Amino acid sequence: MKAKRLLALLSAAAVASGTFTGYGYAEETSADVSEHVDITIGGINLSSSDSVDGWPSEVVQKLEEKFNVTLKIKHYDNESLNLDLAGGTTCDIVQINDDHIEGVIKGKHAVNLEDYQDTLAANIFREDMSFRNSILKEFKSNGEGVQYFVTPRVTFGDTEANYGTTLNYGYIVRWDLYKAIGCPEINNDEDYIEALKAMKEIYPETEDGLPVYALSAYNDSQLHAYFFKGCLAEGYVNLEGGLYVQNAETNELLPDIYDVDNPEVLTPFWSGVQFFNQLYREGLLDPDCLITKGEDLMDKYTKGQYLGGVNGHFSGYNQAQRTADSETLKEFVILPSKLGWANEKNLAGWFGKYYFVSSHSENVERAVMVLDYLQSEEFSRDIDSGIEGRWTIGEDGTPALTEDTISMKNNTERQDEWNSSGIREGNMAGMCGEDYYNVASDGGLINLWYEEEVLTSSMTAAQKDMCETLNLSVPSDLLKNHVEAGTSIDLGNCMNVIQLALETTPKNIVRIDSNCEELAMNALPSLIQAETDEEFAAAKAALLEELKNAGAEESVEWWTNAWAEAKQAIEALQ
Amino acid sequence: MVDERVGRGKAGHRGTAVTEGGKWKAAKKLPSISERRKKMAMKKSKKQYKLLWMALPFMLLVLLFNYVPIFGWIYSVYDYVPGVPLFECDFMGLEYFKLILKDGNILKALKNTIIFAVIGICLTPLPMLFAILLNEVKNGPVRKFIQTFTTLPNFISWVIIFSLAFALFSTDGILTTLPVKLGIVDKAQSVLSSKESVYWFQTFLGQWKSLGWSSIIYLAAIAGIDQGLYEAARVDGAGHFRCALHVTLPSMIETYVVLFILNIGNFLNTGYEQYMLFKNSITAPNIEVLDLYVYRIGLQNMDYSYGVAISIIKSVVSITLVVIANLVAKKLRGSTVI
Repeated sequence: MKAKRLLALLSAAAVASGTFTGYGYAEETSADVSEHVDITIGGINLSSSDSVDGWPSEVVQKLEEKFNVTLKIKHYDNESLNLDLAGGTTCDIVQINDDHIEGVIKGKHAVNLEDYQDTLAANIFREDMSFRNSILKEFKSNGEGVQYFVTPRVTFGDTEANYGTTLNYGYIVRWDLYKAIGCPEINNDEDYIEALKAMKEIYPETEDGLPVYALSAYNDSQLHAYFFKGCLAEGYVNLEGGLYVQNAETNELLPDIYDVDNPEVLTPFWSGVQFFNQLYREGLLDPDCLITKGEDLMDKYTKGQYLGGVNGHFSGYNQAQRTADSETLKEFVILPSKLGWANEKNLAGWFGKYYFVSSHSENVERAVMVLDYLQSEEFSRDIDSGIEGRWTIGEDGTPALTEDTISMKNNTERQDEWNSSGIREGNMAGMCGEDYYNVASDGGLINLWYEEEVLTSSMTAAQKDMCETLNLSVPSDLLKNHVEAGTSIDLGNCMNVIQLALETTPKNIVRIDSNCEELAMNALPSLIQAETDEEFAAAKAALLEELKNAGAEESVEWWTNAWAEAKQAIEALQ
Repeated sequence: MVDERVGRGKAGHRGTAVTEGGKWKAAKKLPSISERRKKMAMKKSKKQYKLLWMALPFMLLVLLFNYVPIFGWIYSVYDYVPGVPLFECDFMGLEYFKLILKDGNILKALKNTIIFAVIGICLTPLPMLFAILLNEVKNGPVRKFIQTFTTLPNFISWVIIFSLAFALFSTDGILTTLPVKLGIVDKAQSVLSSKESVYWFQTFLGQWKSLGWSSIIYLAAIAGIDQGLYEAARVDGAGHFRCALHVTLPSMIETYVVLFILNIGNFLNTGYEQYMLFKNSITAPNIEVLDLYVYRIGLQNMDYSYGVAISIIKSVVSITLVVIANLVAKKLRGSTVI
């Protein structure tokens, strides 16, 4: 009841502040919002609003009141989206990936946003977004030179990032066990394997008697677990599918699996596969590694059967441990690998997520208004930091999260309130226009959780213990130290905007790539379960031969040329 | 006084003559034979129309789900891009059919499909034999329990079955670790990560799921067998086994042959859900059947046109097989099934 009252109060305060101060969001003059309508945002991998805890959150309620709409989220997968595109029944705002751009434009499913440039879409077309807009006009309009799409999370040129409180990716270890073995320094895969081995020696089975393993792979994401592990270890960023990777420092494109032209470079896929093979030989790898899927992994993490990992499947375990004991040290933490996934410069926004207003919408204007609002500074702040009230403007005139908001984050008893606040809600957090680190017009960061003084206050007990033990301010200081020492890199030099400028992959190349991916998947057992280096080399040679026969060279030629053209085009634009 | 005579025969086919005051006069004109035949035919056709009306919804369903989709074959001659009207897409002619001939994966998928199909065909008598065995269980509640117990898996989705199988047969699974605990083997080997076990294990799962359900039609056939045949056999000294062998089994052969021929038509239709769920990098070479390949090409890679082209070839092969099986059945039995 108390929470509800607080929510109502906050909403009212937010609406009032939005109305009176009009901060950050350009109010439209020609907008008629007198009639209440439903607006649905559909997207690949979005979760239906019916399944989101706390929906409609404070952030959503504010949006709904502002535009007199009821907002819903619709989940699309490739098939359902294609079906809606074919039938002309897409919802009001749609999020697609590169595979659908041609169909959307040729089929005239998207509204030309430039028609609303001077009326309803002021946020989309503001000066800060001009580079992003020119990229989308040039490369995502099927040669028409008009803007149909917007991308989320655009980093502005003057943005300075910090590394946040914790790292997102790197060498994952269970803190209590890592501490118990004396926190050995981990600088590469060999160190990591040694640490995992030592952890297994002191914790060979769970309290329930289940066997414990170093880690496993999530095979429902094709090759991701293998090449992504390698990307972190070798300093690369993957393109979709992982057949090609971008050097995070030099921005060169390299064939990841078919590496015959670069024998001196250890590419991410081969690095990852070697790592898994090493774990196998040491008896540390989950014997089901080649058959486990994401859900199986989460289940085994929950049972405490893993010591490390590749991706974030441990989050459920961490949450459960904190719920049982808020002071627990049984929590997975992340140590830096060669590539620290931080300081990302998304000058044209996130690639692979394109939002458009459907021409089939019954309320095109309202949909344009909502999409424009999603792109605004105001909404970006709301979704990252909560609506005003969850943060306040201090006496020094800068915004800061309230103590109550900060304490709410790690208080498991206030989980429902956290959900209702809408802060960092997965769906909407991927829709907003601005990057976390952009500086808002009030002088604060868009994401106030990244303000220096807040970084330390939102740590869990295990993270605090980690900082005390390793003499750090925040866990991400480890990456900072590594970058300063030159043993790690961040994404500061990575021009991921090149990927946005790539031309659509022709179908024959898609077929070759898909076949190569399948061949690589099928070769994993012989690679990972190789008992000797000779066996591994033979398995690799066999795979490369198969890839060659499947047309890998044709694919490499196309991608190399397309990448060179895209890079050149971006450099010209910059 | 009324004198009633029947004009012709006892049923009075032509009409009834009545005398009134000694004068003959036609009291009521009876319908002619042709009129009666017409009436009867009309009655009969009315009955048939009723039956046809009853069948209409099902015919519509067949039309809707089996014939209307054939229109989709046209996608195979266009380079279809989802969202773009079909006739605005590039016309490709028979390019995708030519591509099939160059696609080495088709042969691998076809090999797996044929292996699964042949194993499936070899096991087609199982439901019939199961029905006979079930029929021999004379304890009513026990028979009901077995029937329900074996029929239920048919209603469990493959996703659930995969989860159960993972819990039972993964390396840490109960059934995989049991032989190790019993000291039968040294190291647990999961059947889910064994390429060699794919054919028999998937067939086993398929049979476990469908055996009870498939046997229902045979149980119905058994219920229709004339009890006199059993009595006569018993009089001749036949026991349970002889009755089953010489009465039940021959009575079910007709049903079996019909179902067998229909199964031939589904020779290449193995479905994809089961194989998709159990596919992993170890089992992939042996588990990818044609339907799964079409799913991967058509839906996962969004290469719809090529996927449709492969499906068309599959349909043509299936129809050919049914026609051949029907002709063979005619040769052997003297009558066709379709």
